[in-house]
Amino acid sequence: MKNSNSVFFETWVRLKKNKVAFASLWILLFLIVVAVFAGLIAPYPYSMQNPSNILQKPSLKHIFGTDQYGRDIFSRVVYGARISLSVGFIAVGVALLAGGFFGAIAGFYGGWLDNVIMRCMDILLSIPSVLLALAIVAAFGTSLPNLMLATGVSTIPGYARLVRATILTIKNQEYVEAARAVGTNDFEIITRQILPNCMAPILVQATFGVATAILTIAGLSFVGLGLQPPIPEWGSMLSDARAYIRGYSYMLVSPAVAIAITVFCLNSLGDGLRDALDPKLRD
Amino acid sequence: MKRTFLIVLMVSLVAMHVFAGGGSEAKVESVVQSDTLKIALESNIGGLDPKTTVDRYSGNVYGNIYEPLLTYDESDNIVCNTICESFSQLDAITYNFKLKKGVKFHNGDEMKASDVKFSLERGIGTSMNYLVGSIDHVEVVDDYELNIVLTASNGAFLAGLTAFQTGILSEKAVIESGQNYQLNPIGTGPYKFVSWEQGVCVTLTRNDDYHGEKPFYQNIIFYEISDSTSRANQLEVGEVDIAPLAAIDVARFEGIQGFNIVKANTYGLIYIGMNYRSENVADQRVRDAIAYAIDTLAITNATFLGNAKVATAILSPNVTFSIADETKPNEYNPEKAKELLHDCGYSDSNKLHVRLVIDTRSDVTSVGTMLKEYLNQVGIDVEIVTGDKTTQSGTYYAKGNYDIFVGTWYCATPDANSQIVTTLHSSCNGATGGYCWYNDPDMDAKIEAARSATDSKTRAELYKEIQLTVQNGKWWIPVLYYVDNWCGKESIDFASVLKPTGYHEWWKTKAFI
Amino acid sequence: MLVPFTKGIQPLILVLEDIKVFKYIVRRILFLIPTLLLVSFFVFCIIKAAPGDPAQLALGEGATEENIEAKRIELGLDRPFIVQYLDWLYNIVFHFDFGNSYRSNISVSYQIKSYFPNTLKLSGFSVLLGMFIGVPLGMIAAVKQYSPFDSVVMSFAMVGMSVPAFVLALAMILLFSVTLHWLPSSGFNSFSQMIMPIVALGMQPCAICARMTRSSMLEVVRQDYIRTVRAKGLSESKIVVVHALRNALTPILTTVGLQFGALIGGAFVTETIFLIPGFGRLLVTAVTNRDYPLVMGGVTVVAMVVALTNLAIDIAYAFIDPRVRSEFKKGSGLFSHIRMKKEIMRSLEEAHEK
Repeated sequence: MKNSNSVFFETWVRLKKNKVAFASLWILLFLIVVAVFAGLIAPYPYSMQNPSNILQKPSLKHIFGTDQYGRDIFSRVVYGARISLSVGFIAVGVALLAGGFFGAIAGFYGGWLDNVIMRCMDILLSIPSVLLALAIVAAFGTSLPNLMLATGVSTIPGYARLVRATILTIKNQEYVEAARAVGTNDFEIITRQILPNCMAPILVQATFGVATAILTIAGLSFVGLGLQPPIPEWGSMLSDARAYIRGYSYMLVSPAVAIAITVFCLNSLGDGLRDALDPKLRD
Repeated sequence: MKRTFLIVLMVSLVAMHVFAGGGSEAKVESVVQSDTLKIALESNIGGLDPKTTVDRYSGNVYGNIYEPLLTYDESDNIVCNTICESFSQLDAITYNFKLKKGVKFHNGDEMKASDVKFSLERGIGTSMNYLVGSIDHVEVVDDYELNIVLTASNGAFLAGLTAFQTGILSEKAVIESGQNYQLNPIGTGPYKFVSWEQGVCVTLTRNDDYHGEKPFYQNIIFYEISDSTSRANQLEVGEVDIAPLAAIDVARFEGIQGFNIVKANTYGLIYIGMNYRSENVADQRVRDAIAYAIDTLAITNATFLGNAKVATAILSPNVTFSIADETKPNEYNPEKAKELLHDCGYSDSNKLHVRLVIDTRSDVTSVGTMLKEYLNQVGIDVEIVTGDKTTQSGTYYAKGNYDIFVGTWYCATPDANSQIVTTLHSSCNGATGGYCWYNDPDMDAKIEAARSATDSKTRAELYKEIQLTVQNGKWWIPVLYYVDNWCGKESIDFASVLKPTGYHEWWKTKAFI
Repeated sequence: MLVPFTKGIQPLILVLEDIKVFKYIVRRILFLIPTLLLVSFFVFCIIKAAPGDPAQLALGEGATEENIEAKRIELGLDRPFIVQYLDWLYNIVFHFDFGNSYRSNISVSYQIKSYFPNTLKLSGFSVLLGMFIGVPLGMIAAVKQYSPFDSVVMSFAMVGMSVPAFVLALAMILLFSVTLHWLPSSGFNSFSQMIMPIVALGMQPCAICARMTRSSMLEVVRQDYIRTVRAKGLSESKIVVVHALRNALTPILTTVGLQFGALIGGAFVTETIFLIPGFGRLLVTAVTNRDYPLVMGGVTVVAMVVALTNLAIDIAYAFIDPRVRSEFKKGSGLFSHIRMKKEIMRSLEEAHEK
C-alpha cells in the first residue's frame, strides 16, 4: 500500500497539470477566505438600509450599486459567499456522514440489515430531490438547519452506495482478514482499512455535492422557500432583482455571476480531482 | 425489422405529440382582436364559484358573470342592482326584495327567487360567511319576491349584498354540474364564460341576451400574470391592454406615449400591529415609544416610491365610517421614543427585546426590514421571523407568541364592520384575522353594537370610538394605504370602472370614440 | 444511422423471449406500487407536520371558529391521521379519484391533466434539445480531440453545467425581452414563448450529453475491437458513428432519462420565472397552501413518471448493452437494477471521463 503522503503529493502534481481545475482550486480558496473574513472585506453591513440612496448604479462608493433599500450590493454578495459556502459544505458534510455511516453498516454487516438500508435508500432516491426539499421546508420551516437538511438529505443515498461498494470490494481481502485475525475490532477495521480507500471518490462526489447544494439553496430562496430576508443569499438577491430587471439590471448581474463562478469552480475542481485520483492512470 | 422499428417510432412520436398537446383548454384564436379586451391580473385566479374563492382576483373575473342584488350609486348610497326591482326593510331583521321579471341566465333559464335563496343560503359557513353569515333563512314569497330573515339585527348586511360574491347563481346549473361547476359557471351577467386555461387565462364573451345595457367589448380575456415585470412587458408590447403596475414601473409608463395611468384608491392598508397578549408591549409607554420610533412617511416613500398614501386611521379613507380624514399620520420622534423607553427602565445594558413577525410578501418584507432598523436606532432589539404567509399563520398568528407584526388588510366590503369585526373582536383572535389578539369586553360590546345598529349616525360614533381607541392605544400603527396603479391603452376608457373594493366593474369598460 | 438501432432489435426479441426477463420486467412494474405507496405516505407525513390549517386557509380571513371547525369536518381533517391517508388511497385505487383541491374545490385530476402536458413538453423538449445539440457536439469534439474546437466545446459544456437554469433564464429575459423586445417573457403557448424556457432548461442536459458522448467515444476509439472493424474495411467516419455512438448510447440514455425525471417536478424555478403553468409551480403553490389532495396527487404522479422513466431506460438498456443483459439473467432483487445501471454508468464516467 502506498504511503498516504506520496499519494497526496502525486495527486497534487497531477492536479496541477489540469490548468482549469488548478485555477478553480485557487479561486475557491479565495472565495473561502472572502467568506471567512466577510466582516473585514465588506465595506458596509449587509442589512444597513439607506432610504435616500436606493437603486444607485454601480459607482466608486458602491462597487456593485445599491438595492431597493439602499443596501450595498457588494457587501451583500460578499456575505452571501459565506452563507452559500457554509450551507453547501455543512449540507454535504452531514449527508456524507449519514450516508457513509449507513453505507458502512450495510456493506460491512450485510444480510437483512444491508437489504433494509438499501431499500430505504432507494425510496429516498425515487422522491425527486426538489420535491423532497420543498416538502421538508414547508413542514419544518426555513431555518438554516432545515435548509441544510433539505438540500443534503437527497444526496445521502449517493454516499451510502459509494461507501458500501468500497466495503464490498475490500471486505474480504487479505489484509482485512489479517487485521481481524489479530483482533482489531470492527470499528477500527472500518476506519483504518476501508475508509481511506473511499476517500478519493467521496471527495470527488462531495465537491460536486457542494455545487449542487448551492444551486438547490439558490433555487429554493429564489421562490421564497429558502433563507429569508435580510439574509443576503444569492438566490434571494436574484429573486428581489427580478422586479427591477428593467432599468436596474446591475442588481441581477453580481449575484448571478457569483453563483456561476462558484459552481463552475466546484465542478471543475471535482472533475480535476476525479482525474487526478483515478487509479487507472497511476501506472 | 426496419419497418417494424419505423412504425414503432412513428407511433410513439405521434403518441407523445397527442399526449403532450392535449389537455389545455381551447384557445381563443378565432376571436377578432380589436373586439377583445385583455386584462392582466396580478395574481392567480382561485376559482369561479363565489363560495369557494377567497381572493378578489377571482372576483374581478366572475363579477362579469354573476350579478348581486344591490349596488352603490354615484353618491355612495345602496340601491337596487340590475336584477332587482326594489327592496325595503320590513323590521329589524327582515328585508324584502322584489326581483325583475324576465332576467335570463346564460343557459336560457329565467332567474327566480328560488335561485336567490339558493345562492345566498349556500354561502353560509363558507368563505362568503362574512357577507351572508347573519342570514337565518330566506323565505320565497313567490317567483319574484323574497324575504331575507337575519338571526339578529345587522347594519352592515345590505352592504354585503353589493359584493360580487353574493352574485346570483342558477340553482339548476350548480346542481347539474356538481363537481365541475367551476369549469362551467352560469350567471345572469353581461358576460358569459367561454373557457379557462388553467394557470393562464379565463375567456369571457358578451351575453347577447343580457337584460340590461349591453357591454362594449365582444370578449374579455383575463390573464393571470403574477410577475410584475412580465405584466409591464406584456402591456408595453400590446399583449394585454390593461394591467396593474408595480411602483417601480409606473415612472416608465408615465413617459411612454399611448398609455394612460389611472391611480385608484383601495380599501387596503399596511399596518404595524402589537400583540395584546404580549408582556413586552403591555405598557402604553412602550407602545408609544415604538410608534415614535417609526417614520411612516419615509417607509411609504421608500417602499412604494410615492405610489401609496401615508396612513392615518386604521380604516382606509374610502371605507364608510373611516376617520382617516380627521386623523393625523403617526408622529416620528425618535428622541421622545428613547425618552419613553428610558422611563420604562430600558437602557443600553437592558434593551427591550421584541419578536417581529413578517412574511415573505415583498411589501411586508420591505416594511418589516425598515421597521427593524428604526427600532434598532432607538435601542430596541428586534428578532425578525419570516416565512410564507401560511407558515406564519400556523406558527405565529395562531399562537400569539410574538410582540409586534407587520400586516396588511383589505376591507372586504365598503362597510367598516367586516374589517373591525375580523381584526378586533375577541372571537376572531388568531390566524383568521385577529392577529392583534385584542381581547377587551368593552371593545367587543362596541363592535357588536356598531354591527347591529341600523342608524348610520350611531354607527359612525361607535366606529369613531373604536378607531380612536385602537389608534391612540397604538395597537395598530397604520403605515400606508395601498394605491393601485392601473395602466391601459390611451384609447380605453376604464377609469370609472375601478372601485376601491378591488372588485372592478370591467364590463363597463368602453373605448373612447 | 439506423443500423445500431435495428441491430438492437434482435437482442430485444431474444430478451423478451426469455421468460425470466419478461417476468423481471413485470415484477419491476408491480414493484412500482409499494414504491408509490411509501413515497405518498412519506410525503403525507411531512406535509401534515407543516404548520398552517388548510381549513382556515380555504375559508380565508374573517372566518369564525365555527366555520373553520365545520370546514375541517367537511374536508375530513378531524379524522385520525391514518384514516385520512387510507381514505385518500381508497379513492384512488377504487374510483381513480384524486379528490378535490382544498382551495378551489376543482378536482385534482383535472388540474393535473391541465398542468402536466406543459411540464411534459417543457422537460421533454429540453432534454431532446440537449441531446440533439450535445451529442453531435461531443462527437465532433471527440473526433477532433485536443483541437481548439475540443477545448471550446468542453469549456462551454462546463459553463453550461455550472450556470443554473434560472440564472440563464433571467439573463435571456434581460436580453431578448427587456432589451431587444424579440421574445415574450412569459407564457407557454406559442413557439416564441416556448423557446427561452426550453433553451434555459436544455443547457444542462446539453452540456452533460456533450461531455458524456465525447468521453464514451474516446474510450471506444481506443478499444481493440475497432481495429477489427477497421480490418473489415469500413470507412473511418462510419466506424466512429456506428460503433462509438452505440457505446455512448447507454450512459447518454441513462442521463437523459434522469434529467427528464428531475425536470418533471424540479423545473419550478424556471416555471416561476416564465409563468409557465407547469407541475413544479402547481406543487409549490399547493404546498404553500397546504392543499393536501393536490400535493399528494401531484407527488404521486411525479414519482410515477420518474419511476416509469427509469424503467423505460432500463429496458432500453437491455437491448442495447450486452453487459447488462447478462445481469438480467442473474435475476436480482427489487431495485438492484437501478443500482446496476448507476454503477455501470459511474464506472464508465470515472474510468473514461477526460
